[in-house]
Amino acid sequence: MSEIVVSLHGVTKKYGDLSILNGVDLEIKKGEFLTLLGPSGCGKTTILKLVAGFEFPTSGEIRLNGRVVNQEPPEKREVNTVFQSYALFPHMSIFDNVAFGPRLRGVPEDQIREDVKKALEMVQLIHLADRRPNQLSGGQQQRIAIARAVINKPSVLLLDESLSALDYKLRKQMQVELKHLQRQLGITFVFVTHDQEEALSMSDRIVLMHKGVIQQIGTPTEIYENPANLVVANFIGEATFFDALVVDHSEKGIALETEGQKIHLKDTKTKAKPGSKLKILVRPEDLRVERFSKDITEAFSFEGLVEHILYRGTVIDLCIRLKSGHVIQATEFYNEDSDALGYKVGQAVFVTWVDGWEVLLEDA
Amino acid sequence: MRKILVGLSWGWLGIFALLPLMMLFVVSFFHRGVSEFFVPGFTLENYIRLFDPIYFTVFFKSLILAVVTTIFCLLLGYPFAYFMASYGKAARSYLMILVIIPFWTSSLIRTYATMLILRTNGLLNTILLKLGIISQPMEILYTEWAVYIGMVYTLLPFMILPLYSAVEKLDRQYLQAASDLGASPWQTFVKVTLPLTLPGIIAGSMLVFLPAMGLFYIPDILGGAKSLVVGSFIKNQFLAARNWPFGAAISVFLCLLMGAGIWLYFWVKSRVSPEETKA
Repeated sequence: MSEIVVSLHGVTKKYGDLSILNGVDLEIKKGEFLTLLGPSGCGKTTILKLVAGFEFPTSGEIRLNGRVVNQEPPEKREVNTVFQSYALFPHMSIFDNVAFGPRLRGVPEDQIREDVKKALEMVQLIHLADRRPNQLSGGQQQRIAIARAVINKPSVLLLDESLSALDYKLRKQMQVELKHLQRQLGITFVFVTHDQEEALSMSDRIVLMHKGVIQQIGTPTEIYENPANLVVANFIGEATFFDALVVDHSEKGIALETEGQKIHLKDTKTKAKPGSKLKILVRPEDLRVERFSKDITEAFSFEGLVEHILYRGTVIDLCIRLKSGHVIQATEFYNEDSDALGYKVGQAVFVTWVDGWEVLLEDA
Repeated sequence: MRKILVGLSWGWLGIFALLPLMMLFVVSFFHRGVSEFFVPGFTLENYIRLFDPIYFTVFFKSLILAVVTTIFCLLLGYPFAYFMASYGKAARSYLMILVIIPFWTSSLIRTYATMLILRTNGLLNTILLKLGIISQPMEILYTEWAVYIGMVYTLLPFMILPLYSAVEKLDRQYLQAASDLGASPWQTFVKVTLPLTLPGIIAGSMLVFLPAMGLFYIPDILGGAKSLVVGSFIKNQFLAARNWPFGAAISVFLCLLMGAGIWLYFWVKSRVSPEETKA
C-alpha cells in the first residue's frame, strides 16, 4: 500500500454562480507521475491551483501529507509549481532564480552554491548560471523552472501545461527528460495537460476530467483500452462508434443488432437490458479491413465502400461508408509482404474486428 | 506625411524649446547691464558666483524640498497605484479619472484654492473645529507644512501614472511563483514586486523631483515667500533683480543637474532590465 501525499475529498470550487469543480475525490500516491487530462475549462488547472494554494476550495477537504491545508497560503506548503510561462524572475540571474527558495529558507550560502550547482547540472545548464532568463530559449527556461522548483525538495511537483509552449520536437524530448527526472528524484509529479498523447506516454496514472468532474482514473492502458464512458472514449485517441440495440444477453455473451445485422459478442460485463441502446467502441487500428469476404475470420462483417484514403506515413486511414450510410474510420498498418497498399477510392471492402477488442458503452 | 509630422514636431521643439535654451546658455556668459537686460561679452563670473555659500543654501533647501516631496509622493502614490492596478476595470477607470481631473484646471488656480482651504479660518480648520478634533485653528498656511501639502498635491499624479503602468504590467505569475517558493507576502513585495516595478518608481520620482526643483509659485503662495527656493530665485533674477545673465547661469546649472538625474535614470534602468534598452 503506497503512501498518499495529496488527497482531495468532495472538493468543489465556485466563482460566484459558476461551478468549476464539482465534488472531486482524488488520492495522489507518493512518487507517482499523475496527469490531469481534459479539455480546456474542465477544471484540471483549478485542481493544481488548489493544491498549490493559489486558490482555496469552496467546500471539501484538501490534505497534504496528512494535514488539512484548505486555507494554507502557498508559502507554507511543501509543494512547488512549474508555471506554464515558467515565471522566471527577469531581474535575477539564473543562479539567483534557482537559489530563491533555499535563500528564503535560510540555507547557508555555501550550501546554496552547491545545491544550485547540482540542480543546474541535473538539467544540464550549469554553463548558463550567470545569464538572465530572457537570454535563454524556451526549452532552457523550462528546465530552469524545473530546477528552481525541485531544489526545494517538494513533496509534490506541480506542472501546469509546462510543455505546451515548446515546439513539437523539443516537447517530445522534454517528455522523455521529465519522465527520467521524475524517476531519478522520486518526487511525485502532478502534470496538467490537454494533450492526450503526452498524458498517455508519460503518466503512471491519468485523471480524465470533464466539466469539473473526474470521469475516470486509471493507468494509460486502462484509460485507452477500457474507457469508462463516452466522454473518455471520445477524448482519448481516435474512436469509431457503432450504434447498437441490445437483443439479449447471457453468460455466453451478448446479442446485438447493429448496422442492420444481428451479431454476437462474448462480452458479459454489460448488463444493459434487452431493447436498450449501446455504443460499440472500436479503435480504428483494431478494425480489420478485407477486400474479399472469404478472408474474414470473424463471425460478422460489414460491407462498405472506401470513400477517402489518408496517407499518414507509417499507416493509412481509410474512411469507409458502410451500407447503412454510417461512415467509419479504420487505420491500417503497412504490411510490406502484402498488397495492402492497393486500396482504391470506391472499392468495396469488408470491415470487422476481433471479438472482445471492442468496448460496449451505455449510450448517454 | 509621416516625415512632415516628424519634421513639424522637431521644428516645434527646436523653436520653442531648443532655441530659448540656447539663448539662455549664451546669455549666461554675458555681463550684467545697468539699463539693458544684459551686455554681450564673455565672462564666467555668473557661474563662479553660483558657488557662493549663500546660493549653496538655496540649492540645498530646494533639494531637500524636492527630495522630501518625492518621498511623500512615492509613499502615497505606490499604495494607490498598487491597489488601483488590482481593482476591476470599472473601478480602475473611475480612479484614473480622479487622478486626471486636477489637470483640467490650472495648477496656479488650484494652489490659490489650496490656500483658501489651509487658511486659519479656512475650510480645513472650520471642519476640524466643528468636528471637535481640534480646539483652536491650526496655523498651516505660510509654514513649511503648507508648502509640502501644496507640492505633494500638485505633483502626486505624476508619480501615480508611471507607477500604475509599472504595477499593471507586472505579471501576477511572478508573485505566485515567489509565494510558491516560500516567500511571505512581505518578502514577495521586497524581492519581486519592488525590483520589477523599479523603472516605474524611478520614472515617477523623476517626474516629481524635476518639477519640484523648479516650481516657484507653490512655495511663494503657500509658504509666504519666506524661504527662497531655486525656482523663485531664478524668477527673482529675471523679474526683480533684472540680472538676466546670472538668472540664465542658474537655469543652465539646474538643467545640467537635472540632465545628470535623467542620465542616472537610464543607467539604472539599463541595469534593471537590459532587454528593454537593447531592443
